[in-house]
Amino acid sequence: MAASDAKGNGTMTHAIGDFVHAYQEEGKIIGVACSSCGYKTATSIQRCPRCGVANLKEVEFPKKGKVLSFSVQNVPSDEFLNDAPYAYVLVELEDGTRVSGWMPEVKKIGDLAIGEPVRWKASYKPGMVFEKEAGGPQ
Amino acid sequence: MRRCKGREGFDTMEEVWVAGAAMNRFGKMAEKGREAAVNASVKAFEMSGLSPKDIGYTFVSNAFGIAERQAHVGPLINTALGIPDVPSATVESACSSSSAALHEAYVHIAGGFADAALVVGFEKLSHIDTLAATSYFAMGADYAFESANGATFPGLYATLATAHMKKYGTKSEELGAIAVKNHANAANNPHAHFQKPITMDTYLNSPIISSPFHLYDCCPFSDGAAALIVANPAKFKKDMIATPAKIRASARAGSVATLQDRVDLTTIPASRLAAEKALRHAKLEHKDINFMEVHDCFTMAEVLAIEDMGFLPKGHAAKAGAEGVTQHDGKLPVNPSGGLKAKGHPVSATGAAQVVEVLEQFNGKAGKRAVPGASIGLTHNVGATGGSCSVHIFEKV
Repeated sequence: MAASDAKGNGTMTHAIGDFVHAYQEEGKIIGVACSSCGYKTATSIQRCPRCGVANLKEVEFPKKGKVLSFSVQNVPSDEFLNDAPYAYVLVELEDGTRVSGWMPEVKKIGDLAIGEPVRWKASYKPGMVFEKEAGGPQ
Repeated sequence: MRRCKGREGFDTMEEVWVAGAAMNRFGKMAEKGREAAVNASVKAFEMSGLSPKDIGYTFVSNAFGIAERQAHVGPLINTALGIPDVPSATVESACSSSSAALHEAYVHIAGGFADAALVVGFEKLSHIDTLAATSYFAMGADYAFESANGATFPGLYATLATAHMKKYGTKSEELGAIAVKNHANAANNPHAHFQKPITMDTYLNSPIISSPFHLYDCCPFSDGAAALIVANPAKFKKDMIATPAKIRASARAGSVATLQDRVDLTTIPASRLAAEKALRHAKLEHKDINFMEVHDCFTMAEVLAIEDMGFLPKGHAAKAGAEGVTQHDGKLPVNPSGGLKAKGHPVSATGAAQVVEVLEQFNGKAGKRAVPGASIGLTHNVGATGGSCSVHIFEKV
């Protein structure tokens, strides 16, 4: 994917807007991998935060992973007012990359546990919705 | 992990003391933020013995000035204090704004660029609703990746808490003991937002805001203002009328801001780095610190602060708190003021207000929350979820 700024000048690489475009329009989770230390991230960087090296390449990540941690949000911010309760989740994808997402199906603390397998379901305003691998809450 | 870089030629610098420190009662303010800032500054000057004309620089903090439609507030404050020609700047570092402002004042005075400085932090959010305030607070985190996935500010700390509870077996009742302790301290602090103790039942029966956090795990939205007069004793010692606090160390550090990019979800690296740096600069050890005011925007944040700064091993602070170790008269007094949790957390006033508590402890004005023999105190102030951290160490002169 050729990253570019709003005018198509190609000066921006690893732009936030490209990541969001990938979730929303292409159904992909993308980010960058450090060619030196191998660190991978789905946030926008121009130098590796682990080793400082600038040699980053854009990569696509797997869409399955497990829950690293989470919190059920009963008091949301304005953009999620009509969605609460739901869980904000940190997910470790199968290749070790960590991403933020949210899970509308998780309504209370007992609905989810650290380590549970989850998969990417959809993009939504402009985050990423995950769902349990096994399906909805039992 | 890379080390914080910076010159360490501390033996050649000027000494820096805090000569005066004042705050208003945290809670809801009738006056505008800028008025409260000026009033706190006047009180701090009166306590110190210095006058506004002694000041070479004013460092202001007001992270959510947008809520009052006011930026560039330094010249307004200086004009109201009769010193319109004095330079000013606003220092923003989310919840650690006014400790960052204190660090800037320290750097100016230690480096000889000013003989004295005013540090004043304030916030007013009570005139906007909880939804808007919650939305503003979320802006201190990574908006594009965290807030866009529905994470509120409590939600991010709650995510750290979920991970800490899983890894170390930390229990809700242990977090509740921190809330009970800090409310009890606040009940003895006339500056505090909350003036009543709470029970464990009150804590456990309060609604879940962001799991695992109950309402009483969370600091309130508070208005407030706090001001510090910081000065070079070589120039102003003769003028000082209160017992001053010598700044033994003024250290700051950063961490990866976005939680998903952290190596470990049970620690805030900036707290460890800033504390290591502060203790090294002060040439002190953990056992030398008599008491500390730490950044407990949530109960779990107090646990992380104590552990990450190295005062107790990882996984031990919550249990120690439940056993009474962190009471104001315990072995390791933490947040005798009531902390952010119960004294209140007007974001940009908090770092300066922590120093108000240090001065009150040193000046024998802490009443029933006094730490016996308090002569060396530490303040720890975190920006957002740990993207920034300030640690200061003070010694009674």
